[in-house]
Amino acid sequence: MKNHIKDFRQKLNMTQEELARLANVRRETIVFLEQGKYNPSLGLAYTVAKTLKTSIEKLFVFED
Amino acid sequence: MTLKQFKVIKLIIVIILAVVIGLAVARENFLVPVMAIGIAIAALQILRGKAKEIMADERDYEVGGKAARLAIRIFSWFAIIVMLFLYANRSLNPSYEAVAITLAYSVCFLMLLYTLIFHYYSKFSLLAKKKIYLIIGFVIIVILALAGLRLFSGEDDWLCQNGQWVMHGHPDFPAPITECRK
Repeated sequence: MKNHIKDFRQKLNMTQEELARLANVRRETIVFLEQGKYNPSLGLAYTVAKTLKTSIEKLFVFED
Repeated sequence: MTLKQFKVIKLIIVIILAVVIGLAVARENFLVPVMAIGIAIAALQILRGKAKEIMADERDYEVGGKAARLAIRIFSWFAIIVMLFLYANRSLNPSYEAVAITLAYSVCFLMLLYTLIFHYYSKFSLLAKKKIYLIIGFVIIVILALAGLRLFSGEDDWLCQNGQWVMHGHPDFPAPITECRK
């Protein structure tokens, strides 16, 4: 699943480490998320979206 | 404590534990390895609580689940192949049969455990804790009852028949030295 996590994170001048800490996950998970190699749980998707001050719909690109 | 420090300490504890277990087993001591494992687990739990960083998150658990499933599959197939090989060649060495049976029971136990835990997470996790404890208690009682029946049923024993001790099953002890009067 594609996403815009990196764009939103860079807009807020946030590092992967900071985002990981705020989302309560390891930095590697943020790396995998940004590369689209890991589909997060609904809880994590919501936390990341909230941390990046956006919504899940804007952050993740759902493909059929 | 940082995650890196925790990992270094964990490695040191594992090395010490391996040395202790190795020495104790070589000296045919059973109690020391059990105690050492208990102490190591307790120490790691305490240290884990002191580490501020996140040890594992949902991705680690997902990867862990996949790795565990694959490990179970590989172990089961490997153990079954080795077991069949050893059992087929048991005439070459009497200990092959014991090893083969141990492997077979290990695989069965692993499968049973996996099935029980899988069913717990897929169905029972929705139930109230009280019900789960009752079900687990019932399963333990049934397992103990079956084990007890198997142990005390005299399945593998020496039977007194026509004035002679006759082997019944595969008793792992010699015939009684007392006189057989039947």
